[in-house]
Amino acid sequence: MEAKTILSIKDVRVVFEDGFVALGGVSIDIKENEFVTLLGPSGCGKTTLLRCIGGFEKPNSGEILYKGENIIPLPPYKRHVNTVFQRYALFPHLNVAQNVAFGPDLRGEDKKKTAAEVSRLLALVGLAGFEKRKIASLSGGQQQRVAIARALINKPAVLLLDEPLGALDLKIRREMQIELKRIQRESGITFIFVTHDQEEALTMSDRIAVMQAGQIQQLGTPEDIYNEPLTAFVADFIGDSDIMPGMMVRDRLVRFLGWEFPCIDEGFGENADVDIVLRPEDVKLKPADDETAFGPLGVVESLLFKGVHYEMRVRCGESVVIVHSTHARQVGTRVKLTVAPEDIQVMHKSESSDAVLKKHAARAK
Amino acid sequence: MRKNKALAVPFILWAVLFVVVPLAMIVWYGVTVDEPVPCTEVLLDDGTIGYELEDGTIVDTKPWQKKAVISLSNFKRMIEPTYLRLLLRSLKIAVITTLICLLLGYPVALILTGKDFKRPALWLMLLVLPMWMNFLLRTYSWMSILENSGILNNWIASLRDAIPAFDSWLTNMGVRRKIIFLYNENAVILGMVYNYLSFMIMPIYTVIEKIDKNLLEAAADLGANPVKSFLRVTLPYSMPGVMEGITMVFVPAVTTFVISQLMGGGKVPLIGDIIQNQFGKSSDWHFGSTLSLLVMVVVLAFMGALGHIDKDEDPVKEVRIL
Repeated sequence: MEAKTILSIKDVRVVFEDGFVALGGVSIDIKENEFVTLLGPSGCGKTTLLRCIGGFEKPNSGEILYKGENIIPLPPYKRHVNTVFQRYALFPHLNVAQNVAFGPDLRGEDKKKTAAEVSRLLALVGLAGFEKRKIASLSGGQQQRVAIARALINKPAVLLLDEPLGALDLKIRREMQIELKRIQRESGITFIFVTHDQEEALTMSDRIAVMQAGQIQQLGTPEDIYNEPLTAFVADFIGDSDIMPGMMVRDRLVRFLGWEFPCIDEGFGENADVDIVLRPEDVKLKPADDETAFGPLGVVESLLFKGVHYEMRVRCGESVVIVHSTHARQVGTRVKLTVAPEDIQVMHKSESSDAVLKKHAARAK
Repeated sequence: MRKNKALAVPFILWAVLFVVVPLAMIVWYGVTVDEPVPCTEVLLDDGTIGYELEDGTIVDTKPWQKKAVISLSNFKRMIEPTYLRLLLRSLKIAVITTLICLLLGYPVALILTGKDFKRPALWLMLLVLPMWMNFLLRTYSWMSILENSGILNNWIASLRDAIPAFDSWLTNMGVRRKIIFLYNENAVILGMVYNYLSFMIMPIYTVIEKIDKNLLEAAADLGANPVKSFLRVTLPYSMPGVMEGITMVFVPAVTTFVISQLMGGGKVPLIGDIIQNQFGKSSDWHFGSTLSLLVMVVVLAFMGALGHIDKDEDPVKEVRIL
C-alpha cells in the first residue's frame, strides 16, 4: 500500500537579506511515518529548509503543504510539527518533567494525565526516574533525550530534528541513532532529520535528500544514494570514493586511467566527457603478471591497516586510486587494477564536477 | 597568584581609604555627641570667675572646645515622628519612582530587543544620551519647562487662545490659567523618573538581549503564542535584570536630595535633605551620621529582601551555565 504524503514542499526559495540564496527552489514530498534525512555540508540549506517547515523562516516563494494545506502563513505555535533543536534549547529554570510538560501545560491539560504521559515518554527515551532532575545536571545525551521527549509529548505529525546528535561523542551518537530509529518506529511519527554525517544518514533513513548549495542533488534510499550516486558531488559526499574524469567511448565502453573498461551504461553518446566514480572496495587488485585479468597497471604507493580492511593508494600514471581490500599488498608491488562493469558509476558532468575532480586530483600529488 | 595579589593592592588601598575609613567615621560620628569639655566654675582670688578643668588647670574663659562622647541620644532623636515621617515619605517616593521606571522601562527594553527592531544600539544611545549632560542642567531644564510661566504653561495658554472649545473645556474642568506643576511630590517623582529611567532600561535590556533565542523558538515550537512565550520564558529570565534595575533606581531615589530641593522647591523635604542639612546648615555631623546609618540599614534590609526573592527562583545561575 502506498503511504500517504503528509508534507509536500514545492519549489521553496529562501534568499537571505544579504542576497545569499539559502534555498534555490527545493521540492520534496514526505510520506507518513517516513524517516527522511536532509544531508549535506554546512551552508547547503538543510537547516534553512527545516526552519521553513518549523515556521522559523519564511520562504520568499514556494509552498509547504501539510496534508494539502499551505502552512507558510501559520506561526510556529499553530503548526502540527515539533522541533528538536541543535542545542536542545531546554528551559534551564525548569526541571526535566517541567520541560517535557511544557507543551501540555501551555494547553492547560490535566496535570495528572500530563505527569503520567511525561513518565511514559521519559521511559521511552530511556530516562525513567529523571523527572525531578535539573537540566544543568544532565549530560549532553540525556539533554538530547529530554528534548526529544518534550517534542514527542505534543504528538506532532512531523518531528524535525536539527543535527540533534552533533554535540555527542561517537559512542553515545551510535546509541542515540539506534534509539531514535526505535522511537520513530514505535511512535509512528514522520521524522525529518538534518545532519552532515553521511554515516548517520545511511544508518537511520528511509530516504535521504543530499543537498548542496540550496539544491537537492539527489533524493533516494540509502542504497540508491550509495550505489548509484547521480552526481560527482553526491558520490564524493557519501562514503569513500575515487572520482576521476573519463570518456564514454560508446555505449557500454568507457575510458579512464588510460584504459578502456566495459561498463553497463548507455545513452551518453559517443566520445562524451563524463565523471567516473569507483568505490574503493570495488577496485580489485590482481598480480601484474595475471594473464586472465584486464586493467591498467599500477604501483602500490602506501598501505594502511584500517581494522576491517587495508587501504592502499595505487598510482596509475597521473592518478592515484584508493583501494580497500582485506588482502594486503606491499608497497612497491606492481598490480593490475580491475573493476567489474556494474561497479563503474558513469555520470554526466555537473556544476560541482570541477571542484570535486580538483579535490580528488590533489590526492595524487 | 602572587602577581595577581599585588595587582589588588591599589584597589585595597582605595577601598580602605575611601570606603572603610569614611564608613567607620560615620559609625563613630553616629554613636557620639559633642559635649562641652567638663569644667567647674571657681571663684578666683582676684574676685573674678574662672573655670577649673578636669586635670586641675584653671583658665579664665569658659573653654570652647567640645569633646565627642559616646551617646545614643541621637538614636532617640532619630525615631522622633518628624524624621520617621520623612523617611517614610522618601521610601514612598522611591517606591513609586521605581515602579514607574519599571513600568516604562521594561516595555522599552522589550521593544528594543525585539527581533524585528532595527538598530537597537542607536536607539539605546539616544535614550542614554541625555544622561551625558550634567544632572543639574537636566533638572533645571525640567524646571524651566514646568514652572508657572514656563514652556509647558505657555503652550497650553496659546492652545487655549487658539482653540476656544479647548479653553472652555479646561475651564469647566476647573483648570487654572497657570497650572502649578512644580514644587510638589509629583514634580519630585517626575524628576526622579526622568533621571533614573535609563538605570532601569539598561540592565533589563542587557538581560533580555542575552536570552537564548533558541528558547523563544522552542517555546513557540511547543505551542506558546507570543504572550505565553513572554510570560513563560522572557519574563522569568529577565528577572535578574529587573532586580538589578530596581536596585539601581531605588537606592539613589531613597537618598537623593538635589531633585527634591529643585523640583520640590523645598516643599517636599526627603530624608536626604535632612541629612544634607545636618552636614551643612545645622552642622550637626553626629545627627547627620546617625540618620545616614538609618538610611543605610533600611536600604540594606531592602536589598536583602530583594536578594532573597531573587534567590528563591533563581534562573540566573542556570542561565549562566548554558
